[in-house]
Amino acid sequence: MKSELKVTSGARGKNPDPAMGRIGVYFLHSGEDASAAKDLQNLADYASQLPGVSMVRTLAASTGLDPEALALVFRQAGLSAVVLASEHPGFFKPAFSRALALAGGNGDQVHLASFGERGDATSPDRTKAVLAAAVQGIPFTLPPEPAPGTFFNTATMVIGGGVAGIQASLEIAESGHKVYLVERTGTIGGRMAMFDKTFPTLDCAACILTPKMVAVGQNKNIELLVLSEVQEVTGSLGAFNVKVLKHATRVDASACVACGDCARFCPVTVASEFDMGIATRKGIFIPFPQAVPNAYMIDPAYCTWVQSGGKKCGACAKKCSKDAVHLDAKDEVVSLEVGNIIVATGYDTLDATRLPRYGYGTYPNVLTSLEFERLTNASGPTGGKIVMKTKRQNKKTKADEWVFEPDGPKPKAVAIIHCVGSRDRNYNPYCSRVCCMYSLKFAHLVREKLPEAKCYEYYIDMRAFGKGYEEFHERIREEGVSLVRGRTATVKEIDSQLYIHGEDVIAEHLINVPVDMVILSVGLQPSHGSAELAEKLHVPMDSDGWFRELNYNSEPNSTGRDGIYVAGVCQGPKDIPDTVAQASAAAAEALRSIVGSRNKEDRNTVPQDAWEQTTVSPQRS
Amino acid sequence: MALRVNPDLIDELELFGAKDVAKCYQCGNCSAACSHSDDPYVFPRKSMRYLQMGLEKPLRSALDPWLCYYCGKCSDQCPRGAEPGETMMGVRRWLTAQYDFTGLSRMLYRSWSSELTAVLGVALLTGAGFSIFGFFFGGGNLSVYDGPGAFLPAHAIHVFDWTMGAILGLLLLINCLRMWHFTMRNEHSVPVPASMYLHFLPLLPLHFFTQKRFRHCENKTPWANHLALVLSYLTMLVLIMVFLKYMQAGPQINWYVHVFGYLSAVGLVATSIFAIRGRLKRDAAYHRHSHESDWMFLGLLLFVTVTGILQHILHRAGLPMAANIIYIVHLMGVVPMLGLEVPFSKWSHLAYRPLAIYFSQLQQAAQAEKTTNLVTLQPRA
Amino acid sequence: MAEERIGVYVCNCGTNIGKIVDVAAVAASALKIPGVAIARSYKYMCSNPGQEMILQDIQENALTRVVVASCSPRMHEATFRGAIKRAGLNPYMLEMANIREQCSWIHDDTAAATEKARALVHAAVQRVKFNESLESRSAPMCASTVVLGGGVTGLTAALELADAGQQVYLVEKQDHLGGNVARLDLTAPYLDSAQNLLRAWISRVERHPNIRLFLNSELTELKGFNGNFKPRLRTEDGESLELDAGSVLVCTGYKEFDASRIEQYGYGRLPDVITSFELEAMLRTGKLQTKSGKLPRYVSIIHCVGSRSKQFHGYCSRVCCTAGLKYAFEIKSALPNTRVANLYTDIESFGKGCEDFYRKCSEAKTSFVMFAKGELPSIREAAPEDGCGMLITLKEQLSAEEIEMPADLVVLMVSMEPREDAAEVAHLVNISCDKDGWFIESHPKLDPVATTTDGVYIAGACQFPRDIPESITQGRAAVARILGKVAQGKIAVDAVYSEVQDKLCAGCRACNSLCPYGAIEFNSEKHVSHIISAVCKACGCCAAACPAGAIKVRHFTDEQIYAQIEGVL
Repeated sequence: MKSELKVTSGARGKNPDPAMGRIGVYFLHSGEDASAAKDLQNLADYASQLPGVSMVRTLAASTGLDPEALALVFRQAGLSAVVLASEHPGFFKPAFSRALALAGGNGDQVHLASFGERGDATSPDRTKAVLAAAVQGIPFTLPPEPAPGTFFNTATMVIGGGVAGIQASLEIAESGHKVYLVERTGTIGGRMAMFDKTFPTLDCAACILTPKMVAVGQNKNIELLVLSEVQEVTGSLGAFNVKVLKHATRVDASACVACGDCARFCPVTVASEFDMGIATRKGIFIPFPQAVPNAYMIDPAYCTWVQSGGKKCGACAKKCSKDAVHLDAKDEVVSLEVGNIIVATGYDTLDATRLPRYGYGTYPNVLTSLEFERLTNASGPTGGKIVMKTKRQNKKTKADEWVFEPDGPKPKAVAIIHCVGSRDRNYNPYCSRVCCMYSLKFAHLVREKLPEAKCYEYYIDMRAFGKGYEEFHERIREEGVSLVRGRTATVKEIDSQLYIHGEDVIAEHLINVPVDMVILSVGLQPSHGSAELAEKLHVPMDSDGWFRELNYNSEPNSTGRDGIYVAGVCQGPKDIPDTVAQASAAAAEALRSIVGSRNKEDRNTVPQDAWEQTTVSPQRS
Repeated sequence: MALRVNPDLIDELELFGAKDVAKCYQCGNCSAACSHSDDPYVFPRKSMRYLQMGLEKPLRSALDPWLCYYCGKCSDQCPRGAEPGETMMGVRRWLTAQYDFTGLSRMLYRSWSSELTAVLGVALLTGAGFSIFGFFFGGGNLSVYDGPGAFLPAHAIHVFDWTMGAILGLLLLINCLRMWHFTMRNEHSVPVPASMYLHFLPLLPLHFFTQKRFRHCENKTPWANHLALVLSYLTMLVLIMVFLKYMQAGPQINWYVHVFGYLSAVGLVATSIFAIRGRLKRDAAYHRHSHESDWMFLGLLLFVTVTGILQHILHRAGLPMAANIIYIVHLMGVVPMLGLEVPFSKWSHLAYRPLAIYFSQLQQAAQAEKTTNLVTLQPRA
Repeated sequence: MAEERIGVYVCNCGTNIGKIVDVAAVAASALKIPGVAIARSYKYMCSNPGQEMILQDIQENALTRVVVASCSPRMHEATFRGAIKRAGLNPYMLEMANIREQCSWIHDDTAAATEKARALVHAAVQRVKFNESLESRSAPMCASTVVLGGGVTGLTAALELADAGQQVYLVEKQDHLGGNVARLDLTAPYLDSAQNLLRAWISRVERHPNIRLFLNSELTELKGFNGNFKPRLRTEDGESLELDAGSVLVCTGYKEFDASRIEQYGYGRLPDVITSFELEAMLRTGKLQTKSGKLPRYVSIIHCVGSRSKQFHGYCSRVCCTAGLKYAFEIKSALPNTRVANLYTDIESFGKGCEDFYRKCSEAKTSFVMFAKGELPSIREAAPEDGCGMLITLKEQLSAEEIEMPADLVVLMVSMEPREDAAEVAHLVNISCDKDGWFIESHPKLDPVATTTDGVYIAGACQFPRDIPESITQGRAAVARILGKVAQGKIAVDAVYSEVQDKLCAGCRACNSLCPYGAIEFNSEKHVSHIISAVCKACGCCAAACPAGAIKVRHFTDEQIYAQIEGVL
């Protein structure tokens, strides 16, 4: 699209400063948003007052600018430097640099005033500051975080108990500072606790995560609040006041020894969230055997006692030898005082029923990635055996249902479909970053556990970019998995046989492959409630619903608000190492303000275990 | 020998309406979603790839684009909004221009203004021509419509129709031969024995009249509409080419003939209005994008039908002079419509599509014979 | 020896061990060993309930020593030591039998594997009887940090530490800060200015009271240990300077692949074949032209130059795809009439905002041409009638055609590779490099910035290719560790180390040069060797070498080892 130039009325540079040369300021806008154009007008007037500015223009531009046309303007105006101002002016810089070079100037003299570079740059003062800095050719920097007030609370709240939250909590707690770890479900561990193996090293997720979970449970500096949700956040860096709604577990965690008697007598059976619904749990339950805290809890939504208002059942309370079950326990609102907040709320996976053409929910043996993780997990319903669902009659409802039985039939062919709902403008336009690798991992597990089974992967681009990932990709290829480039269009079931229908774009023919099991590598999306949380925290989100970092390059784990940091997938899809690194980085930000702040007030830290006395001297004797 | 790419092809095709092909990242979803795409004719992805790469030669010799009926399913599912359906449409326009030896087609497709001037020019010439003919060689009296001394005597028009038909037919035939040359005579194609050409010949009329492959598309509406249009159009063609003198006779209504006229007229009006409405509302993928040539075609079709009906009514209403004037106006639509659209533009697909089906099956049969040494394939209806 | 009550705990590790080894049988047979009071098996010993089980047994059954048969001690020794410590036992009263890595994972015959597991457990039980109580100690933690490398990672880490009030010594080999990012103009995918970014940081670093900057300097020696390092620098003016530092953060970055190694790309031979970094300069100044000063009508960007290749680097360089897209986009907007093509194998635009940027590039009509991994395109000079400078031929995957593309300018997306001095640095700070030469982290997933040497951390593109935000994040992750230690003020020192029994030492000094950690020094008055226990890692080289058998490795005493051997046999 060609773009037209127009001079804004009265925006002629008032005071050209020969020392600074002649600077032209261009405001670039899409031309769609009228209100934006109006704000630009005010900015344009401001810009025309700045020293050295000899020309101010607004330019309704797509990315298709014509450098030759610009060069003419520059030459007429005799510009020595140009300032580009917009959300992300860098998109226009190449054209302007060339134009300036064409006009006989130095293409390097194109300075960027990018309003979008610092989180949401809505405040007019900030945009003006950004602009002024660019005109003077100096980089714009936010002032360092404000010095904390009368006291600085050294406690930190971490929202979300996944691997990111765990890592951040441990970093801070092990430095001897208080952490409140607020987790929405009944246990910490998050998604990683559901995984079987982790790519590309294939060490079991439980083996490396459980110790960390245990460490959290045992660390005296970490106060763990499960079944809890942040309700309200006030205050600022160094002194946040947080209200947390703590749902009653109705079981005294300190008394419960997780013997499981209660569950044995509980009459209610429901689908287990931890097992992604492919296994069941009781109304009183523990999410998984290694859960932290390691105590049972009651799901009031299904508990007969709760639903009947205390009239029926109550078996668990009667059977508990430790009298740990308190059916009438009430939810409470806890208020916390913290100096920093770390958001680590992680992700949900895309609802596969949104893509009816893959038949998830219609065909029993079409699974999502997380369902397969549970299926292949040693602690899953089949003890790690990869089997197909078998039909059986539900004892209560007498209805047919498809379930995983440990002795179910083994699939002879398994298809793994990449990019389900990812890289697709109709669903999630972004890449979910981890699917390629976990899909390769699945393929390996299938080949390992069912050596005679065929395994197909259907992908668009193979994204194996991490340390050892590409090598893993090659290894899977050599293991005899057929990696087919081409997005699967449909999964159809023709007389109880699943068929994958797609195009092999390299071999250039259509494929119609019979398989027994289909795994949908569903994309990641912000965990439910993220938007609400962002509102409570007054921090911005990006267009895809992830938490928006303050600056893509320089502040990848700060939010727009001092003292509130993001860690892990809630800021955008990430694999485990990147998540852990970001969690530690977020902890570093918190620790910086804690360790760095003078007048700190440490109200709640528990002293570390006393050190043994002998001290070694670094000096050589 | 490596094929030299033409990086400008993608811009060339943009003029023919393939505007979004650059967005495609080649996932292949479209080819698998299409109900017509099948080995060895897998499309639209591959045609789109040729286009992206600027591989002019393979694209020119491709039959795939003609096997697509543009139901729009591929475009609906496309993750990048690359509009595979519309791209194929654009490729078909480009192919039409490639087949056309006069180069007129390319000119008409590439620029709206030249298409407009061409149509108007031909229209005015026609108008002038028939007026002059009417006054000096025909009846000479504008107030006589039919019978002896008719301003435009049926027999004369009859001769004119056939002459024009012959010329157009010849032009189209040449273009079809060029199509045959491109698609059946390239390094990838298998030589087809004459006997096989005969054996498969029935496919041509079959697909010409029934458009039955179109029915395989998941979305049936466009097929029904298209079939209605084709049948109405053919009926009208037959009426005019064969029964013109009964058509033009009047003022009483000759039901044996006219009833067909009425039916096809209704068909033509209904279908063209349906299409125009769809293109204005852009409700379905196959209507979302409209090239100038689409509007021109629909415009002319509606214009010609309406004027045709009008002259018929005026004639019956005993207004011969008005009828004659409208008749000329009608012809001013007919001549450019047939003269430009049939050999050089949209209507040529009436010929190219059945041919493509015919050729594609010949290729497969020949291929099969080459590999198995016995005719395994029968014409597939 | 006093009556010992030993508890043996055998772990299923989900099915990792259980599926091969008959865990129950192993536990049962352990019970028969004299001294064993209790033997149990459990699904996950490392889990909370597992540890609780051990804890209870110790308290209720007065266990004095514990054997855990599970995974490698590297994985969980600390976990179980902690557990028995909580139960009131000395942590060194624990012995682990590795029946996973050294048994279940490498065998498939259940009977044999079970037998081997039984033997390993037996050995552990025999050994644990001789274990001695050892006390762990602590050393002071020096708050200052040496940061090696003044690229984006080093700059941000230094600032983070300095802002927290800690002393930082920032050591940069070159005469300027900024590293490789100093060579960039814009950053993908939002095309923000890399220079603004750097100048902001550098100006702060230069003015920061807590940062002491050493340009044109390098580390020459690193003595001492975690919390108490004695780094020695060679500074600008050639003098040697010893500092005190509690931690060392290595962020020495990367260098680019030498494109001339790929013959058919003709880099160095064909004037208009350039590398990505050469293009950056062109884009910054707006002077996009061929060597002969003409405007390029056709530009081709070739991806994976040196990456994902059997011949050169097996790994993917992670950043080049998005960088390549950036160049395509920039060239297209600077030269609207130029044809830009990306020659790629997979577009790995995985980062936040990157897939969207990929779409933008497609919409800007830059084309994407796919070659097969391993079937690289080849470039040759074009003839005058071709109307272009060069011709690129390749087997285009998605059209299955052998094609020939015109090109006036070819940009090679050179892969990232370890700096030539990486091995040297690794040796200096006593960390190791992987097969590609990148520094190895202590755990690929849960500990990406620590190394096997306590107090030495790695961050950024010296560990693996990384983009700016990822590098910065890692730098800060390392800072978290350092600040954590600083906040504690002390660091724990392992109780396991070697000691010289002076009366036995003949002062032959055989051990002195052997110690890989430089922990041994010679006491000339007493004429005996002395081991600095805090530096000693108890590797045992010295003990093995000592002709007089004067060196004792705590927790690895002769009787412990012999007992263990007896146990296996």
